[in-house]
Amino acid sequence: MSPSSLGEGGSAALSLRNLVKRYGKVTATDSVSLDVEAGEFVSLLGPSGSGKTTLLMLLAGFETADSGEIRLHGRDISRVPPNKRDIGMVFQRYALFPHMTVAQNVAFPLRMRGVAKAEQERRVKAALDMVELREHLDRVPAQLSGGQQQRVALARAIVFEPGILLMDEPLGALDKKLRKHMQVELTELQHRLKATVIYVTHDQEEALAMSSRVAIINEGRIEQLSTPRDLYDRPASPFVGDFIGDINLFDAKVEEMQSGACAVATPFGRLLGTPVGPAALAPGAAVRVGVRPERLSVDERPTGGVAPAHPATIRHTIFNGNNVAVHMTMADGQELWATVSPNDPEANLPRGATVHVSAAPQDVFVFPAGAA
Amino acid sequence: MSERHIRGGLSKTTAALIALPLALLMLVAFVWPLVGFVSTSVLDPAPTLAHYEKLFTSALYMRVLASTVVTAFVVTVAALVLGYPIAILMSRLRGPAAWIVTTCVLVPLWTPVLVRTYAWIIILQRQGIVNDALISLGMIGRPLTMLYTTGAVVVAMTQVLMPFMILPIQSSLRSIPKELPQAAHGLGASHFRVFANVTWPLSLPGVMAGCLMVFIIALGFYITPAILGGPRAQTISTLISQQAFELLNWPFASAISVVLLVLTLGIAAVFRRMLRVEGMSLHA
Ligand SMILES: Nc1ncnc2c1ncn2[C@@H]1O[C@H](COP(=O)(O)OP(=O)(O)OP(=O)(O)O)[C@@H](O)[C@H]1O
Ligand SMILES: [Mg+2]
Repeated sequence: MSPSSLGEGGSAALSLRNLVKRYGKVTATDSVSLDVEAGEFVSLLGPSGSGKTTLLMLLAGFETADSGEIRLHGRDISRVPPNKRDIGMVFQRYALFPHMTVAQNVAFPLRMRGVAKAEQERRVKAALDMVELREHLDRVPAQLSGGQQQRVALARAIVFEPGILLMDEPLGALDKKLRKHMQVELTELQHRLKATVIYVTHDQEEALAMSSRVAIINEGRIEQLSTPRDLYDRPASPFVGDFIGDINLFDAKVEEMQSGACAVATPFGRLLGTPVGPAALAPGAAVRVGVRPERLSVDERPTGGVAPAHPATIRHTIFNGNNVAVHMTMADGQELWATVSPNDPEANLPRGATVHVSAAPQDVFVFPAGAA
Repeated sequence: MSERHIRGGLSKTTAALIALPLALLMLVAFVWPLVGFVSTSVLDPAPTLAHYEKLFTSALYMRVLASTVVTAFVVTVAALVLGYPIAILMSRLRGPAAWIVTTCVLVPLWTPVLVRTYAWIIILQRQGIVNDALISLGMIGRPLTMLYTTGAVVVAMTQVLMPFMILPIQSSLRSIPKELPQAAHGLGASHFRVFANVTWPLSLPGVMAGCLMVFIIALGFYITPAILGGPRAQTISTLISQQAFELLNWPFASAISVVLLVLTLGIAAVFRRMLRVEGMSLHA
C-alpha cells in the first residue's frame, strides 16, 4: 500500500501484506505478512487448526481475504479469480479428476489455456517424465497407487509452468517410507525446476528437511519465519521452541539485567540466560525460560564453572541409541529432561542418584511472559 | 455343476430362506397376475396373436402409444432441465436454507398424487389462478383452455415426478468432493468449464438414475393423465383402463399391458447399460 512496500513487493516472487481472514469469531489468518523469493521453498508449519490451509486458500483464490494484499511477481492478485492467478496447487487428497485418464488430468490446465493438441502432448509427456511416471497414461486415477496419484497431481500442477506452486500436506496420505522417498524427490524436482514453493505441513521433520525457510503458524499468525537452523537455535517464542524439537520450559522472574544477558530466579535456584526478543526486561518481570535437553550439562559433582549448577534427582533414563534421555526432578519438584551421550558416566546412573545440572547462558532462552 | 451346488449349499439355503417371504410376495402379487395377463393376451378366446395385431395395425392405438412415449420423454427432459438447478442448489446450501429447500422438494412426494393433480385443476381451470392472472394483467381477453390438454398433462406430471429427478442428482452432486471443482477452477477453468468438464460428468450417474425413474414412471402414469388429460390426451395407461373397465375387453387390455411392460424393461436395460459404462470409467 505504501510506496516502500510496493517496491519491496516488486522484487519478491510472492509478497503478502497484512492478510486477514475471519470466519465468524475465528480469525483464521491474522495479519500475515510474508515475502518469498523466486526459487525459495517455504514451509508453513503449525498445529491443526492454526490456519495453514486457510492461508493457501487465500493465495489460490478459493477464499477472499477480508483485508490485506497478495502480490505475485509484483502483480496484485487479491481480487483476481483463481483461474486467472497462474498458481499451481497440489491438494491434500490430490483432487485428481476421477473420470479422466492420467494424460487427460495432466493436460487439463493446458486444454483450459487453449494450448494446441501436439504441444499439449509434448508438455504432458515432459511433465510426467519429470515426476518419473511414464506408464499408465491411459489409466484413471482409481487404478493408481497413492504414490502414483501423488505424482500425477504434481505433474498437473507444474505442467503449465505456474508462477508459484502451492502444496497442502501433499504427502500426508502416504505411508512413512514412501513419504521419505517423495520428500527427497520433491526437493530435487524443486531445485531442477527452480520453482517457488509454498508447502503446508504439520510434520516438523518434513518442514526442516525440505525447506529453505519455515514459517511457524500459530492461531493464524506467523510466529517466526526463518531457516530451520535458526528456528532451532534461536526460537522467538516458547511456542516455537516447543514446536521445533524438544525444550524444557518453566516460569521464572528476572533478577538482574546485564549487557546481553540476564539472571533469572527459578523455584530451584538462579540461572544465567539470554533475553529473547526486542522488548527490554526489567528486574522483577515474569518470564518463561527454555533450555534444549542436549544443552543441559548433567554432572555427578559440581564442576565449578561460571554457570550456576543445581542439584537434581534422577527419576529414570531412556536409552535411544545415539543418546540417552535423562529425566530429573529439581529441588522444588520441577521436572527437566536432558540428553547425554551414551558414553557419559551419567548415562548409567541409577534412579534416585543426585546430579548437578547447569547450562551455558547463551543456551538459556529467556522469553517475556505473555508470549505464548 | 452338482459340485458347485454342494460347496455353496449352506449359504445358498440361508439366502433362499431369507429371500423366501419376498419371493412369495412377488409370486402372488406380481408374477401370478403377470402370467395371467400374458396368457390372457394370447389365449383368449383361443390361441391367437390377433390382439397384438389389432394394436400394431391400428393407427389410433399406435398414435396413443407414440404420444405416450413422447409425453414421457418431454416430461423427463423438463424435469431434468428444471430439476438440475434445484439439485445444485440443494447440494450447495447449508443450514436452515438447505432444510427449507429440501422440505419443498420432499413435501410433494408425501402428498398423494391425486391431491396434487386436483391442485393443478384449480390452477389451470377456466376461472383458475393462471387465467385470472393473465386476464387481470391484460395479456389475454378470454380465458384459455388449458385443462384436458396434453400440455396440462406434461406440466402436472413434471411437477409430480420432479422429486424423482432431483433426489438422485442431488445425491450424486453431494458425493463430488469440493476440491475437484476447486482444483479445476485453479487450473484455469472458468465457472462454466468447471461445470462442463467436472461437475456435469461426475453427476451423470445421478442424471441417468433420475431420467430412468421419471421416464419409466411417466410411461405408465395413470392418475394425472386420466384426470387432466381428458379423452383427447389419451395415454397407454388410460387406454388400458378404458379397454378393461369400460369396454371389458380384457384380452386386448392385457396385450397393451404386455407391450407397455416390454417397452419399460427394454428402456431400463438400455439405461442400465449406459450406467454401467459410465460407472466403469468412474470407478473401475
Ligand atoms: N470454511 C470455514 N468456515 C468456518 N471456519 C473455518 C473454515 N475454514 C477454516 N475454518 C477455521 O479456521 C481455522 C483454521 O483452519 P485451517 O483449515 O486453515 O487450519 P489448518 O492449519 O489447515 O489445520 P489442519 O492442519 O488440521 O489442516 C480453524 O479454526 C477452522 O475451524
Ligand atoms: Mg489444513
